[in-house]
Amino acid sequence: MNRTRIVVLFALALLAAGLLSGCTHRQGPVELELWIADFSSDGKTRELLDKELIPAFEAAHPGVKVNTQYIPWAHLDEKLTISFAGGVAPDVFQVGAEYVGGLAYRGMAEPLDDRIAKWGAKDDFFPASWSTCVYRGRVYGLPYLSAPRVLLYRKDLLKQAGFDHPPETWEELAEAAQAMTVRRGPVFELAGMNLPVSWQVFVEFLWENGGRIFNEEGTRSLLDSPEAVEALQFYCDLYHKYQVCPTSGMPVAGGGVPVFASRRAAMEIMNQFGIYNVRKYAPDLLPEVGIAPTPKRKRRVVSVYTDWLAMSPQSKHKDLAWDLMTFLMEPKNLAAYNATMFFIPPRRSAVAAAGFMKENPELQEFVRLMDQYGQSLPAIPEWFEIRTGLQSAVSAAIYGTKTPEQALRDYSRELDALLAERVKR
Amino acid sequence: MTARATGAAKREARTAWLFLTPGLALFFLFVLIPVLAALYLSFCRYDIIHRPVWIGLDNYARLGRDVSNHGVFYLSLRNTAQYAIGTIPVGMALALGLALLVNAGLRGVTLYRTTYYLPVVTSLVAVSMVWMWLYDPTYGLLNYGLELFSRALTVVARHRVVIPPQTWLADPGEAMPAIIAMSIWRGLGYNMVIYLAGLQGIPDHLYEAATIDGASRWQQFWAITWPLLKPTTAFILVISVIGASQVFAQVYVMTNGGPNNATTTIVHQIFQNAFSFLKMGYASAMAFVLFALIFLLSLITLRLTRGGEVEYV
Repeated sequence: MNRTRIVVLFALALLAAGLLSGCTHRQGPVELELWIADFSSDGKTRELLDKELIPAFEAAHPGVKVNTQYIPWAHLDEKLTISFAGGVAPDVFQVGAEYVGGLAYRGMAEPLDDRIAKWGAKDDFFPASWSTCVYRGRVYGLPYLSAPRVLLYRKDLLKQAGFDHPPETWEELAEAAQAMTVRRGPVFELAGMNLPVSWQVFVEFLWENGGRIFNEEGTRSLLDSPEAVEALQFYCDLYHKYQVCPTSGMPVAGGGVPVFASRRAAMEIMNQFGIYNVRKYAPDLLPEVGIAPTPKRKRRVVSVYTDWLAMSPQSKHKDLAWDLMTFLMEPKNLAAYNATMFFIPPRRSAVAAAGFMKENPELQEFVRLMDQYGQSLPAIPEWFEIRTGLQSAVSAAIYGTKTPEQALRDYSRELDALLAERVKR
Repeated sequence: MTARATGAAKREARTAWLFLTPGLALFFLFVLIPVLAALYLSFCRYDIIHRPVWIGLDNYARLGRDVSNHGVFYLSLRNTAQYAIGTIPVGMALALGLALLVNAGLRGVTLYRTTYYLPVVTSLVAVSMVWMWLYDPTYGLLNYGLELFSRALTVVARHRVVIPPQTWLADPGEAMPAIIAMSIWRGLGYNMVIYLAGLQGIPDHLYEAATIDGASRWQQFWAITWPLLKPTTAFILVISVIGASQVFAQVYVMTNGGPNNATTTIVHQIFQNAFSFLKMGYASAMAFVLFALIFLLSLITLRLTRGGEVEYV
């Protein structure tokens, strides 16, 4: 009996100690939490932040300690949601090109308009990159890296096929792709155009055709418009009518060489990693790689994907968090960060300051096209659900389970219902 | 009953509760309460960040509409059924066959047993990645095999035979069979070991008696092995039905439900709605539909396999 009592007392004491230690407040430096989702696999990004940038920031802000966490994209959504629900959100965190609507709508990102107005650096950023952080006229973050998608083409193959300029219109695109495609029976040896089955490609065609996914207010689908149907029809035609690529895409080497760099495609729509891959896997091919704006229909569009830094409305040190954000945005810091991953710095003065932009003249062309024709995804709270639905509709049309018109009409109805739910509230 | 005895019984009960408490506390905290909370949430709109809002049966009505419109949830039900039908019968037959072989007293039985059991204890995510490499359209072993095969055919047939390389996971028609094949391979060892245990519970003298009576191996299998394995078969069937209804990891890793929703499954839909779309309420409703389905299927399976138990004394 006595022994039981001792055990119980001991357990209670342990419990009490645990509870108490949870209650004590540590006195110490002010801590800022920073979450980074884009970091290079070779450790260069972490080295830059952990050994250079963050120590420099801490040195300039005595008594401030920054905890940097590197969160892989696969876990980011989950961790963000849970940390916000639990009231322990990071002060500053990185998100992607598709986040602003959802974050702003759920109150997970601090509006920064006043701070930005005082800061005065807004016009130094590329407009398309900047618009990634804007929802309903308010700005919720600062662009951290950009990736514009342009047309990459093989100059030599195009010339052999008898063309003296890269395709500028859809018609020319189809014609050139068809002329360059090489097939042996059902097997594609060279795809005229490397085309994944992806909502991203459809959205590009849609924009080029003057269409939109939904209206300005984000309350009604515009996917049943003739522009949308035409865009999806053209996308399907590339596979079935012009037969420039298999519907399953050109086989991608597992961990090996990407299609374009392995000379198995004559053209593709790709961001600057297309150049990176050619440099890495087929450097001798580089002189033969041309960079052009994606072909137009009614208008010319270069779609731009930008990742950005947001501030948590839960942060207890918003001024410091803002200091950290603007510190990371300083041209040479921004350039150094982007250099670790071969992204385009979304800020003009950072592009000018970046050594790697000078070493890779091709990247200047990406910058020019992004500046001239850049367009980012529209902001809407339901984006991730829309993206999934869009992907289903696009693949249904391409794999032939529905006609483009049917696929878009069906999904358009679904999208209207989805948007109506928010409007109803 | 004396007072003394009651006291002892009481003390015993107290001790029992003391030992049970940690387990029960964990069960309540991490199983029962979350399940009840999920049930409540299935009647709500809930995005984790904001408070849940009661919307009655809306989520369930939406699932109903989805099924009648042949929407994505309907596809996930269809795909899950396809997966179950594809994996269970073949998987069980192969497992039984292997168990019989391993039980036949071959040399190096331990080696075989370990080899077949290895995939079971390997992380499903790791296994999925390895199979993605096998299925890789350009460098995958499978397409390499196809190429070798067509070359061999060319030699034999004396004219050029081309079997085009397949895209496997990128093809809407091939993706689900590809996942099924991998899953059968992966689950084989587990079922085999259970069957093996069942086989080893069958007394040898039955076979001896049958041999003396002149029964062939085939007859012995149908008259002794199969009936006596019935409880084992029932167990594996129920476990497999439950497991197949909950298939997720390989889908998530290998195809993420694509292409063209050809491989999305119920649990994949639950995951996507809960954690990608933050529709916890809708996802919870799906989870309870799945619960009802599994419950029903298990009942049916148990009912079908019950009765007719054979006992030889």
